[in-house]
This record gives sequence, structure tokens and C-alpha cells, in this order.
Amino acid sequence: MSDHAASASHGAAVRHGTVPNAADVDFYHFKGRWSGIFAWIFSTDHKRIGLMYLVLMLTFFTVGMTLGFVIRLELMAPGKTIMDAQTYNAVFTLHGVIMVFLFVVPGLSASLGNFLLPIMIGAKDVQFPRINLFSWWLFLTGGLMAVTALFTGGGPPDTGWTFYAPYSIRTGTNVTLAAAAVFVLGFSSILTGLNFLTTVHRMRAPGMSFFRLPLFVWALYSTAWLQVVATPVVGITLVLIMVERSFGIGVFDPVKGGDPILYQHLFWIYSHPAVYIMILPGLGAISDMLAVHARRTIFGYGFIAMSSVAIALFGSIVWAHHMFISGQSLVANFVFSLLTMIVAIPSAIKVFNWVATLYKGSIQLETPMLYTLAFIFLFMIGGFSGMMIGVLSVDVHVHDTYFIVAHFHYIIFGGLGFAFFGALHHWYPKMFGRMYHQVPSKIAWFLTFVGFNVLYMPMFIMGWEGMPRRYYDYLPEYQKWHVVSTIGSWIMISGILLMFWNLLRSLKTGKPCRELDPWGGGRTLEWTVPSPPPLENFDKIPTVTHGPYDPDVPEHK
Amino acid sequence: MLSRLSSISDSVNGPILFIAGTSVVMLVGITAVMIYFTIRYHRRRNPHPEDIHGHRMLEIVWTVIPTILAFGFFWYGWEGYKFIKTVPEGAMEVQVTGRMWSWVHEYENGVQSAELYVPVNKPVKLNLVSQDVLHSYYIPAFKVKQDAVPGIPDLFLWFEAYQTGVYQVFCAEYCGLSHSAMWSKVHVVTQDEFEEWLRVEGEKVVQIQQAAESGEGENLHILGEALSKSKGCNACHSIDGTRLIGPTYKGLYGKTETVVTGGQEREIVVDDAYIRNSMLKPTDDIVKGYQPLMPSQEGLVNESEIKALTAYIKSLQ
Amino acid sequence: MSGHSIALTAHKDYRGSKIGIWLFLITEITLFGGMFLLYSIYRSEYAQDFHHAAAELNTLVGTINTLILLTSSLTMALSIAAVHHGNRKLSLWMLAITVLCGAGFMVNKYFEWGAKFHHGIYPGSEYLLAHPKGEVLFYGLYFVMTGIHGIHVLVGMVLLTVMFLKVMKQPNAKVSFVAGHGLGEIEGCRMAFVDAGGKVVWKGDEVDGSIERIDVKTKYWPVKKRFHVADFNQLENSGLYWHIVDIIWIFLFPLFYLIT
Ligand code: HEA
Ligand code: HEA
Ligand code: HEC
Ligand code: CUA
Ligand SMILES: [Cu+2]
Repeated sequence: MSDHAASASHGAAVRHGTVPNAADVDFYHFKGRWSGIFAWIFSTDHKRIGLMYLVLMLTFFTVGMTLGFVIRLELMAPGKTIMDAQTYNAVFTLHGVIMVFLFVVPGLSASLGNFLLPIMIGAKDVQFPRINLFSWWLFLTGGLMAVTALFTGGGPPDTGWTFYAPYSIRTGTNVTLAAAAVFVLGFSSILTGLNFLTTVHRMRAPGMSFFRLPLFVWALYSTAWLQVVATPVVGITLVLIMVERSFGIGVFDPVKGGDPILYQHLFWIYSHPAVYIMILPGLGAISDMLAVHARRTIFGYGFIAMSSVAIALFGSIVWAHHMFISGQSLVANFVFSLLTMIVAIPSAIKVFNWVATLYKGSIQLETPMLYTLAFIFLFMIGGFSGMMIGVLSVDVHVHDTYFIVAHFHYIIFGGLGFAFFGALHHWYPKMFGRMYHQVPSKIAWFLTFVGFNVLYMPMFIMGWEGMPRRYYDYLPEYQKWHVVSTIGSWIMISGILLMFWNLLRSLKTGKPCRELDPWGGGRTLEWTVPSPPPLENFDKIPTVTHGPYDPDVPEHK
Repeated sequence: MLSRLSSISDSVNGPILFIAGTSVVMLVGITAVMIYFTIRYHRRRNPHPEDIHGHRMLEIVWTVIPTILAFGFFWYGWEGYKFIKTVPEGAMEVQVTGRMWSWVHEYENGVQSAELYVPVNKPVKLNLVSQDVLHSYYIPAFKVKQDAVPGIPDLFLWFEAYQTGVYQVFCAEYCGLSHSAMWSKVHVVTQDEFEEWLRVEGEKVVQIQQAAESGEGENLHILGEALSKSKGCNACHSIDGTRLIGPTYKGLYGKTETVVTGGQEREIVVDDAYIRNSMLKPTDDIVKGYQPLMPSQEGLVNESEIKALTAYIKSLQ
Repeated sequence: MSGHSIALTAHKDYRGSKIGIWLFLITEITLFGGMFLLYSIYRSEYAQDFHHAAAELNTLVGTINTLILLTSSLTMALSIAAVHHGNRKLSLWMLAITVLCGAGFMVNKYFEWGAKFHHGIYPGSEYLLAHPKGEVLFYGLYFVMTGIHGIHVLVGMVLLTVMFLKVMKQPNAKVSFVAGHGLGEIEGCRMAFVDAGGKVVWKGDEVDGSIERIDVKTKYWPVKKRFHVADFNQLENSGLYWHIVDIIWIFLFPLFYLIT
């Protein structure tokens, strides 16, 4: 990217800039008030902010993955392998915190969403460009706070990413700062959601009715609602933990009459919807990629769009399925297990419509398409295992075992992760004006896919056999599966490193790709603007006359 | 995998077989169709796509069928769960206390043990409480688990073991440093063996009492050693000088220790009274360099046990 | 400038920013909602203790604070109305009173908390720990909820002070539309122009789609004391924030002071 890092400026500053001809200059080369790095970190251009999110997130992702890798090394053998128990507990906590709050929650929506949403609805920017920049800064601040928490206070937090009380109140580690970091990150996420909602409501191009929105936009829209409505709850919950630690107010402390189960309720009221904040943008991106690479319209557009909304709605009322064993009432267990089953229906609708979209398409197995197909497969495994643990009696056995770990890695990493990788490849030429190298990208896909299954499939087995999660040490009988799993992590690592290396290298050496629509099947608006897009996205705001995946876009060849 | 070692097994095995079976069929089916379409409609074979916008009937079918299936899953699981939560009449009750990082089982006659002994083919109800943070009593072989939550008194699990043997118990809810070492065992024995065991252990309780009352040193520290194990002290205190979560017992008695009392450092000499207070009100004096992690033993040790434990610590010079 | 320059001016969409602020208010409501949830659960669990503990709060101070905040809500609304009518002076006065009310509220709170501390009632105090669990929780929630509410009042005061300065000093950044251009962008906004003496020269209704042109006669065009339309909007949004802070207090007051 560095070769593009020419100066530019946007938003308020734009007026001071010189505009030879806005349409001809891509947004990398636009000259504005600031230059160098400042042209990025003070930029209110949604495309630059999107890319800055991408860079930060991938940085954190690398850290999180390295920690995951370290977990696997430690678990190769029972007892002490490479670190002591305290370190291990800190490592999986950070792994979870980083992956959830710094990678998948902002995930696709803050990075590619920021880049693409305005273009996809025919707008020049988001509704509040400066708030958009502000949320990026909050994200950076939160991330730095999380990192600072490692080296200050009583050492890195060791509570698990769930910060369950009363342990999180008792432990001497630096939970307070970590919780503050999550609070700041939550604020950032709220502002992004607020921005997207307003943007979708106010800034659609003429003719772009709600039912002409691309499915990625529908997914971002549903996600944004969840972000706005649910995030404050975890914000306040973590504030309470901080206050509890500093002043001992007692609300979650059983010694003072507080109820630890209430903490869990408050935590999951946010954090269950959060898992749909993670996955929904992924589901949306998958729909868009399918349409392009199968060169046809989406099967059941309205159903897929509405199922995003339904997932957001139902997803908000199932949180207590994380607490079947916690001691909550039988009635609660009954209701929440039942509701959990219902969220599966909209997911089912999506899966079936995707498969039907392949029917009579004209399918080209480009890298994004490979990721898409892998996604559907892995998402199904993750989803079906979700059904199993949503069923009461089964969860009694597998709750807090590696079965759960397998479930969520399949659905987060196999789901959102693969959607993310696919989306990166899919919109890469649009974002950077270059095409990545094809062969390495396919090899990387293959290694990642195979490695992934070798890594996580054994976890289902050992989970079923009773291996509890968050265990530093374990009985020798589980070792065989741990070893397989660790070997899987090596295969996957080689795949992911190859992928990143290829994508980075292609920024410089990739074939320039200036076409509007390099895939030859894009029918949504982002394929009608140059690659990379000009500063103002559109020379003239387009007028939309038909659904997003229908042909005959006049600009479309 | 689908073993039937306890009365709970069926309630878990049945639903998982049903759901996993359905899931595998659907997974394989959907994946096969996906691959078939990908090959059949590959651009080489099918250069001209056809735009199909949807099909109402299909949508209905694939909404209704998963709905029915999902409700089926739910119902099956709920039936199993009801069974898991219904304790049969006449179950033997055991009080289980979890604390960082050990379990204590207490029987109706006052016997306490670190490992659980139960008779085979007899329903057993474990009443779970926690003294500090969340723990979870998990017997994988019996497929049963329940959290122990501080402040909530009425949590329980029950099972009826079908085969004699020794089975692993884990703590399944994260509880800090030695969470993964918070193990115990279930010994499933015949009714006779169980009664014999309970009798012997019961006698030990009486012995301790007598020993403590008569102040018979020799015997007392041996009993103290057993107590230290059964009450889980050894999870945090070593006897050989190694530093664990808490200070070692070795050389403890009579030594001059720096403690923090209400924020103030002071020096004390470890004697009977101090040890007694360390057990009952551990947060009063925190040994310098340690965290206030020791759970209070108030209500868990009686006076004679305190004497025995003190004698044991005294013996470790 | 050319057509391009208009395209490049920052997008101003008043309905949009209203949607934005309302969404933000929703987040405030869910934020406090979490704590109200805790409150109601603990209250049903420890009804008796809550009654006892509440008896110790000073209802008089609470009532005074409630009145203060209600007054401030009124002056806030009046300030916005004054701006709508082009009366900058009145608007500034009303804003000042609003901020002062906020300050009065905080001073009262300071003394109230101080008195509690003085009696040994503060989170984790020995005095409290000697009391039943419900009372500990009551005071825990009391300090946290009124504390977080207090922070909101402070933020509101800062916000309104900024608004005060804006209304006072910079009423007239450029009006960034030219007659015939960009009319859609000020849809939903109400406008007023005043002359140097503060006299209303022109007062308009909400701009809606039916208006095709707004021609501003150049006579007043270069005059300094004219409101930038955006300031209305920011002032209105700050007002909304202030109202939500008041409303939250209206809930806190009976829950903590009046349940005896
Ligand atoms: C992206 C994140 C994500 C997503 C999308 C999901 C989706 C689902 N999750 Fe998952 N979950 C997590 C992330 C996620 N989860 C995480 C991180 C945890 C652990 C947290 C922790 O404790 O640390 C967790 C834990 C978790 C638990 C708690 C387990 C425990 O701790 O004991 C449960 C229990 O019900 C559950 C259920 C589900 C269900 C039913 C879905 C459903 O939405 C899945 C729906 C999808 C499908 C069902 C597949 C597609 C459908 C078809 C192909 C059609 C056919 C379908 C049928 C016939 C039903 N999840
Ligand atoms: C997005 C979410 C996400 C992702 C992608 C991952 C990715 C991985 N996770 Fe993670 N995981 C979580 C979310 C995620 N995890 C969460 C939420 C928890 C729960 C935490 C808790 O209990 O609180 C968890 C817990 C968890 C556990 C359970 C720990 C325990 O319970 O004791 C394990 C165990 O194996 C594990 C392993 C891994 C591995 C091997 C990866 C692999 O994908 C990683 C693969 C690694 C690479 C591909 C590395 C490649 C890169 C490098 C090696 C970098 C090289 C360095 C430079 C170039 C600078 N994870
Ligand atoms: C969770 C870990 C843990 C368990 C279990 C535990 N202790 Fe401790 N213990 C500690 C810690 C930590 C300290 C040091 C801090 C303090 O003084 O509270 C300590 C201190 C002590 C002391 C004072 C030691 C000194 O150096 O002054 C005694 C005596 C003691 N424990 C006895 C016991 C007995 C008896 C039991 C079992 C019935 C027990 N402990 C169980 C953690 C534990
Ligand atoms: Cu006790 Cu984990
Ligand atoms: Cu969930």
C-alpha cells in the first residue's frame, strides 16, 4: 500500500484541496491538506478508514493467531510444555479477547464494510465521516489499552474472554484495564453501527430502494442494529466489573449479596448477539461473492435479505443458552433452548438459497469462490454443532469442553474467517487496482482448508470424550487428539502465511487491474466505478433502476 | 463414545445420535449437491447462466422441514433434560464443596473425603456449593455436569452408576490458576464395600476427636496429614518447601513471618493461635508476597480438626 | 466554484443527524437499562432491605435536584425555541441557566455523597458490610447509577457550554448553499436570519421537498450576525441529549428516594 500513500485529504479538509478533476484521480492520489501518514490517520474518507481498519485488524489478528499457535504448542503434551499455568491462562484470555473484540466484532463491517457500503448504495461517503474517523481512533486506543494491560498492573488478565464474576473480581491481574479496553472498543463499534444505519437510511442513491440493496448491505444494516442496541449492555457490565474491583460495590460479589449469574446474563445479552455481529457481514459477503462468480442473480434475494434481519432479531433473545449449566431456572432453560432452535431457521434459509444460486449459474472457481464454497461447508458443521449444544441434555455433557471450542472455531473461523479471506480476494482488485497472483492464492486456500479441519475436527472428538476447555494440563488419554490438532495448526499456518504473503507481495507485483469489473459478473454498483475508486466514488450519483443482481446495468458491459 | 456408564448416559446419547445423524445426512447431502452444481454448471460446461429469481414452493419446503427438525431436536433434548433434573426418591445425598482448587465430599455421617465413593446401582444426589468462585462438577464418564456457584445453595446433580470402577472428575468452569488441576475421582464400589469404607472413615473422625481431646501428639499429626489431603490444603501448600499458591508447611511452625494486616506490615511468630486464625479468617493476615486466595475454612473444620492440622504442620520441620 | 465544488462540500443532512442522535439516545437507554435490570432484580430479591436503605437517603435533596433538572429541561427547550425565532440573546440566557442548573445539581450531589461518606456509607465500607446484604447492594447501585448519571450531567454541561460559545461567537460561518443548488441538503431544517441588531429579518418554516428555491436577498447577506443553519441542529441535538439525561434522573429519583 505504501506506494499509494501519496497525500490526500477529505471531508472538511477537502474544500481546501485542489481538484483537477475529481473523477480521474483515485483516492490514493488525491492531494489534500495533509501528507504522508497524516493523510491517512486524519482522513475522513471512508475508503481510507476502511483500509486503516483492515491494517490494524490484520495486525491484531496476527497477534491473536500467534497466541492460538502458542496454545497449540503448549497443549502438544500434558503438563508443562513451553509455559507455566499462569501464562497459559493469560494466553487464552488474550487470544479470545483479541480475536473477539479486535478482530471479528469490528471484522468485515468496519474494514470492507466501510470501504464498500457507501459505494454499494451509490453514496459519496458515510453519513458522519468525522465520527467514522473518530471510531477508528477509538479502535486504535482500545487496542493499545488491551496491549498495555499485558505489561502493567498485576500482569495480563487471566479470566477468559468472558470475564466471569466473581473470579474476575478476585484475581490480582490487570482485568480493570482490559475491561476498560473492551469498553472503548465497544464505543467504537457503536459509533460505526450508528453511522451505517444512518447512511443506509439517508444516503441511498435515487432509485436504490431497500429491496434493491446488495445483500452485503442488508447484512451490514442488520449488524449495525445489533451493534447499537446490544453493545451498551456489555459496556455497562464491564464498567460494573471495574467499579466492583476498585470500590467493591457488591453487585456481582456473592459475599456482599450480589449474584454472579446475573453477571452472566448481562454479559451474554451482549455477547450472544455479538456472535451474530461477527457472522452476519460474512453471510452477506458470501451472497455477493456467489452472485458474481456464478454470474447470475441470487436465488431468493428477499428471503436472504429478510433472514439477516430475522437472525438479528432472534439472535437477540437466545443469550442464556450459554448458561444451561449455570444454575438458572428450568423455565429459562426451556425457553432459551427452544429459541435457540429458532435462530437456525434463517441460517438454513440462507444455506439453501446459496446452494440454489449455483443452479444454472456459470461458475468460475476463482479463489474467492473457493473460499465461498469452503465457507458454506464449514459454516454448516459449525451450525449443526451449534444445534447439538443448543439442545439441553447434550449441553449438560459438552458444555465447557473442547466440543464448544470446536463449535465456535468452526463457525467463527471457518465461517467468518473464510468469508473474510474470500472477501479480501474478491474485492482486492477493486481496492488496490491490482490482481493478486492466482496460483499461490489457490494453494494457500487448499492448505488453510485442510489444515483447518485437521486442527479443529479432533476437538469435537476429545470434547465429546470429556476434555474440558481452558485446561493447561490434561490426562494422557487425550494426548493423541491434541497432537493431531497441533499438527493441523501447522498446516493451516503455512496456508495463512502464504495467503498473507501473496496478498502483500501482489500490492507491488500484482498485474495492474484497472477494469471496472475484473470478474466479469459484478452487477452491484461497486463494479461500475474505477479500480481503485476515485475520491468521490461517483462522478455523478447513479440512478438505480433494478435489483442489485439483475443484468442490464447500463454502465455494465 | 456412546457408553452407558450411568443413568444419565441415555438422555445424552439419544439426542446426540438423532441430531448428529440428521446433521451428517444433511451435511453430506447439501455438500454433494453443491459440488455437483459446481461441476455441472462450471463455466466451461455452462457458459450462459440463467437468472432464476426464486421459487416460492421451494422456500416453503426448506423453511418448514428444518423447523420441524429443529423442534424435534429441542423436544428430545428437553425430555432428556427433565430426566437429568429429576432426582429419584431415596437417593443418597452427598454435600460437595468446591473451592480453589479442590473438591470436598461430605457424607451424612460427617465423613469428609477428597474423592467421592458411591455404591453401584444406587441413585446419588450431589449438592453443590462453592466457597469462592465458580466451579463445575463434571464426570465425563457419566455425562453429567453442574456449576457450583457461590451464594446459591440449591444446585445439585444426580446419577446412578452402572459399573464399578474409578472415574475421573473435572472442574469444568474456569476458576483460576490451577483450574486444570482441580481433579477428583469417583469410586464406584459395591454396596458392601461402600458401607465398609464409610464405617472406617467414620471411625477416623471419632479418632481425631478423641485424639484431639486427649492431646495425643503422635496420632494426631497422622490424622492431620489425612485431613490436609481430604480438605484440599495440599493443592496450595507443599510439605517439602516448594512454593505453590500458598506458603509451604515445611518449617512453618515457630518461624517468624512477615504478614500484611489491614495494609500494615508486621512480624509475627507462627503459633497455634495464628494457624487457627489463618484457617478461619485467612484474610486477616496475608503473608507477604502471597495473594489473599486462601478460602476460609470456617464451618468446614471443627476444633478437633484444627488441632490435628496444627499438629501436622508442627510435625513438618 | 464549479459544480464539483458543491459536490465536495461536506454533506449536511439534518434528518440524517437527527436519526444519528436518536440512535445514540437508544444506546444510552440500553446502557442504563442494564443497570435498571440489576436494580429491579435485586430489589425483588431484597425488598425489605431496599426499603430500609432508601429511608436513609435525603428525599428533600433528591426532590430539589429533580426540580432543578426539570427546570433545566424547560430552559433548554426555551433556548432552542429562541434560536428558532432568531432571538440569539434569549437563547444564550436560557443556555446559561441550563448549564447553571446542571452545576447546581452537581453541587447538591457532591454534598449528598459527602454526607453519606461522612456517615461511613460508601462502597466497601465497614459500616455497610455490617448491614444486611440488600442494603450493601442498594448503596452499591445507588453510587454507581447516580455516579454514572452524574458523569452524563457533566458531559452535558460541557456540551452545552460548547454550544453556548458556538451560538455566541460563530453564528455565521458560510451558509453553504447557493440559491438553486443543494436545496435538498437542508431539507428538514428550520431557518431564521437576523440582522446585526438581533432583529428577525426572515423566518422560515421547515424546508421541505415542495420548496424549489430559496433566494436570500443580498441585502443581509454579508452581515455578520447570522446563524449558520448547522448550529440549530447541533443545539437541538445537544438539547435532546440533555433531555435524556433528565429523563434518566426522573427514573432514578423514585427508585432510590421514594420507595420507602
Ligand atoms: C460467529 C459466531 C457464532 C455463530 C454464528 C454461532 C451460531 C450458533 N451457536 Fe454458537 N458460540 C459461539 C459463536 C457462534 N455461534 C461462541 C464464540 C461460543 C462460545 C462462547 C464461550 O463460551 O466462550 C458459542 C457457544 C454456543 C453455545 C453455548 C455452549 C456452551 O457453552 O455450553 C450454544 C448453545 O446453544 C451455541 C449455539 C449456537 C447455535 C444454535 C447457532 C446457530 O446460529 C447456528 C445456525 C446454523 C445452522 C444450523 C447451519 C445451517 C443450517 C442448515 C444447513 C439447515 C439445516 C438446519 C437444521 C435442520 C436445523 N453456541
Ligand atoms: C476469530 C476468532 C478466533 C480465531 C481465528 C481463532 C484461531 C485459533 N484458535 Fe482460538 N479461540 C477463540 C477465537 C478464535 N480462535 C476464542 C473466542 C476462544 C475462547 C477463549 C477463552 O476460553 O476465553 C478461543 C480458544 C482457543 C482454544 C482453547 C483454549 C482453552 O480452552 O484452553 C484453542 C486451543 O487449541 C484455540 C486455538 C486456536 C488456533 C490454533 C487458532 C488458529 O486459527 C491459529 C492459527 C495460527 C496461525 C494461522 C498463525 C499464523 C501466524 C503466525 C504464526 C504469526 C507469525 C508471526 C508473524 C508473522 C509476526 N483457541
Ligand atoms: C486456594 C489455595 C489454598 C488452599 C486450598 C488452602 N490455602 Fe492456606 N494459604 C493459601 C495462601 C495463598 C496463603 C497465604 C496468604 C494468606 O496468608 O492468606 C495461605 C496461608 C495459610 C496459612 C498461614 C501460612 C503462613 O505462612 O503464615 C496456614 C496455616 C494455612 N494457609 C493453612 C491451610 C489449611 C489448613 C488449608 C486446608 C484446610 C489450607 N490452608 C488451604 C492458599 C490456600
Ligand atoms: Cu474449579 Cu475450575
Ligand atoms: Cu450464543
